Amino acid sequence: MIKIENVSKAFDDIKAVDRVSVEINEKIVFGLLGTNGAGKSTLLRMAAGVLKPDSGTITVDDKKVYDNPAAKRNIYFVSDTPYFFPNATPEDMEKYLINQYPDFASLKFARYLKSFSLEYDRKINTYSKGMKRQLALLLGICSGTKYLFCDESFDGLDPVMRQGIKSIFAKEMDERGLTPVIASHNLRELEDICDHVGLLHRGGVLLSKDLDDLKLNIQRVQCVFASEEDEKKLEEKIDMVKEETSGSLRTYTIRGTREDTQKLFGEVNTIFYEILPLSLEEIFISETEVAGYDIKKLIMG
Amino acid sequence: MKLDFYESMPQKKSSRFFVIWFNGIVMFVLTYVIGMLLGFAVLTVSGYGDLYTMNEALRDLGSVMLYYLGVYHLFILSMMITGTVFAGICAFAVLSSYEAIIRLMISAFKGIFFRYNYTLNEFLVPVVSPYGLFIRVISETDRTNGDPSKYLMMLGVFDLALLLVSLLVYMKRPREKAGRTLVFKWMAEPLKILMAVPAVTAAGLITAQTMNANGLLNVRNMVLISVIILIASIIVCALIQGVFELDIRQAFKKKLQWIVCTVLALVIFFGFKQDILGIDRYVPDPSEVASAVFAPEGYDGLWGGRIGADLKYMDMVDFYRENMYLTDAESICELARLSMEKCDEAWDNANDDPDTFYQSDESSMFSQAILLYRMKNGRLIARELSIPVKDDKAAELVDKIMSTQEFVRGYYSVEVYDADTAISQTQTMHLEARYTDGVHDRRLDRDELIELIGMYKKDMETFSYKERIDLLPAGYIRYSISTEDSRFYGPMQEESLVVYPCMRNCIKYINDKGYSLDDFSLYDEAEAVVITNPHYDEQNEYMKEEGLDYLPEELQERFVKTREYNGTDLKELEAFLYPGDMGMYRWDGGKDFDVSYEVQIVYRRGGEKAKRYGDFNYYYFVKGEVPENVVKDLAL
Repeated sequence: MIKIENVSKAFDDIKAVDRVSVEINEKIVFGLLGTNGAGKSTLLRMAAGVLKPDSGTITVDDKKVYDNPAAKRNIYFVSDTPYFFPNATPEDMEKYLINQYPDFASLKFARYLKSFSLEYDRKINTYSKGMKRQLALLLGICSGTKYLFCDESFDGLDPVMRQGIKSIFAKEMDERGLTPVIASHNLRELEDICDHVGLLHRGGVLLSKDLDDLKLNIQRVQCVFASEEDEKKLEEKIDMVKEETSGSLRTYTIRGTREDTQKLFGEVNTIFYEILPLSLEEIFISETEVAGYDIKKLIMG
Repeated sequence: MKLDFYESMPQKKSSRFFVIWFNGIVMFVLTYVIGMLLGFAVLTVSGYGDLYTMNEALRDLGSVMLYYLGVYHLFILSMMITGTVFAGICAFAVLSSYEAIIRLMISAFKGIFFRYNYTLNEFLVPVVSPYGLFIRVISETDRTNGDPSKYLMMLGVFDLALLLVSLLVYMKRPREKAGRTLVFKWMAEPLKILMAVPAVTAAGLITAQTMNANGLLNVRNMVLISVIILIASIIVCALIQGVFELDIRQAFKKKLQWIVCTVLALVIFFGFKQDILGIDRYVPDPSEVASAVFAPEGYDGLWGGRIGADLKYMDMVDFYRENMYLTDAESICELARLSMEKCDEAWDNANDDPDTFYQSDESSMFSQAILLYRMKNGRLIARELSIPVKDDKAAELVDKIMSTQEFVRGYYSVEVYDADTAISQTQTMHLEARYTDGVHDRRLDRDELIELIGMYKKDMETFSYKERIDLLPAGYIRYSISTEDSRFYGPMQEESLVVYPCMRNCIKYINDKGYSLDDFSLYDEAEAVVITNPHYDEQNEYMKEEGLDYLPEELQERFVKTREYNGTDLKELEAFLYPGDMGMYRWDGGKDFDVSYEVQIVYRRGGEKAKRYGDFNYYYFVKGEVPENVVKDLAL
């Protein structure tokens, strides 16, 4: 488990990360969301041991990360702009990484390269931007580390490749308990990959929840009440996040399971009610609006 | 991205530092060794490669390696404290040259404001610098009895210290500071001041130097220098700010920087001018002096550095440092004090004006001497003093210092005491020796030279400074050593020993051998003697009165008086005339030529002297011994 406790980091007068505390459990895909400048990369760099926190602690499996090879051996960091040695081929990068990560899976690497149509002995500087990103991710996956930090690494990947990487993540999680931590400014990019999402804003954590919990515990219901009394009766019982009215049609976003919601609406006299599916985006909008933030401006761009 | 990649790897920062450090060393060593082996291969093919050469090359590899490490570590440190390659290169240039610049400036300040300053060459060589230490290693290696091990050790310690500091800075260096000019913000202001102050002070120094060269360095102009220092502060601070922060708008807004720089520069400038630390007139307590050097510049015709018996050139100070150990510190310190007192008095009388001073009679009573005090604490203090040799008390002290075997053995160590070693090498070299007055020669063979030098040594046992003051040389023992190769560009070693009439053993040996120079007769060689008195003093006085820069052609006859003497006049004049060479520079202010009379000896046509010297040769009268008839003949 990665434990980030009360971590702060400032660059001169600019506070990039301000007293952030997050826990990242094993065998999940953790999505770190936030706008540009929210502190995602800084937090990820600190967690990878690249930067030293000004205060607070970061431990990976109870080991402090900064300048600690034992802890860092469990982490591979894929930065937003992948770095490769000048004139290197995937083979050269593999050779170097084998020295750094003894569990580097060479056979698997060769297989993945093939399936992504990346040539083993071609100079990386002749690769396209997307190919470089794929290679960086594959190197990270094959390094055999428990944690894989990806900083905006999915930007620029086409949907097929994203799906490919996603299935590799699933396989690696299943086989050896890989825990990918993916930072992105775009919620839509993470929606189909992440299990848990942390939302960073202005250096602090706004929210950190399992997606399932989020999805299961929030419902959107459209209904038309038979009378105002029924409406009042229901509104007293529900944990309402948001309400919209269009004529006699009410749309509620409420907390609670689907079953509880059905039971509550079954108890009042409605002409009609329907539980509608919520996208992750909508869940986030609802959750953060309560906290007074306009999520659309924050992460939808 | 490169940093992200490397810093995220499971490696200790220190390991990463040493891996990169080691790569740099391997690259250098490989290149050096390959070059060395190629060079050795070429030498071997050419027939010059031997084990000795290889051994020397390998030994040099050690010292070159230590030097390389110093430069390499300095560069690493420069890169560690800065965040960009450009800033790193600038920092490297500053770190490499800072101490040398400071030393140069101190030396320049002393040169302008200190009267008795003598800057040792080694003072200009930095100590906290791989370049400086390597220069010291090389000069020690080149010296005959040099021992570079001390400096090699210092270089090693310096390398190690720099490495540790670089490592410490690397460990403390926040990774995110890459891209900034300076990694540690707190360094910025002190560094700017440290860079600006020497530059600002230099502006004052250059102004002062220019004024000094034109005789304008007076109190009134000090105000002007202060204003120049202030203006320089503003400009330099603006430039540094511009380069550091790339912020031209802020360039002229750093008022505190200007004030600090101006104040510091003024303190340094006027500190030197007023000699607030009393450096210039410092005379150590004799009890703190372990030994000293007293080197009268040009005494007995010996100037500057020397070529030792090993045929290697030695700088003057190095020569005396190695050979002279005077223990009478009491007399030396007293002479130093007295000399400075008399010299200050003379300058006061000349109102500190160099022209007035050097044209005055007072200036002729001084002769220059280098003084080195070897302090018991290991320090070496150097001064160049003007010794009032004609002052009775000073002359007493000089006699006390110089009429000692400590002085004689140090001062004449090469010419007299190492002569045997030098001459013994000439079995395979060419030796030319003669006893001469500059015009007439007596050739000496190797054995005669060795015997004569033996006599010379015997006479030096009773060396007396005072005794020689009133004597003109009787002649010179001159010898030169050359190899086959050196004949093209001159002898490897050339020495000239003055023989005074008081040197009984030498004179006896010369007379016994029949080598006396008195047997030569000017009357037999010369056809005429042409004596000229240009009356320069009167010329100058006239020009001054008339406001002339030079004497017009038509007035030459009025002042320049010439007379030719022939026949029996020659016989009378012969006793008063001496070849030009016999009138060497008299450091002791002793018996000297009267240079207001120019004497040309016109040789007989076809005679031996005419063949050797051409038509004529220069001779002189001794001061106060010009025959009355000549004075009368050439009077205005």
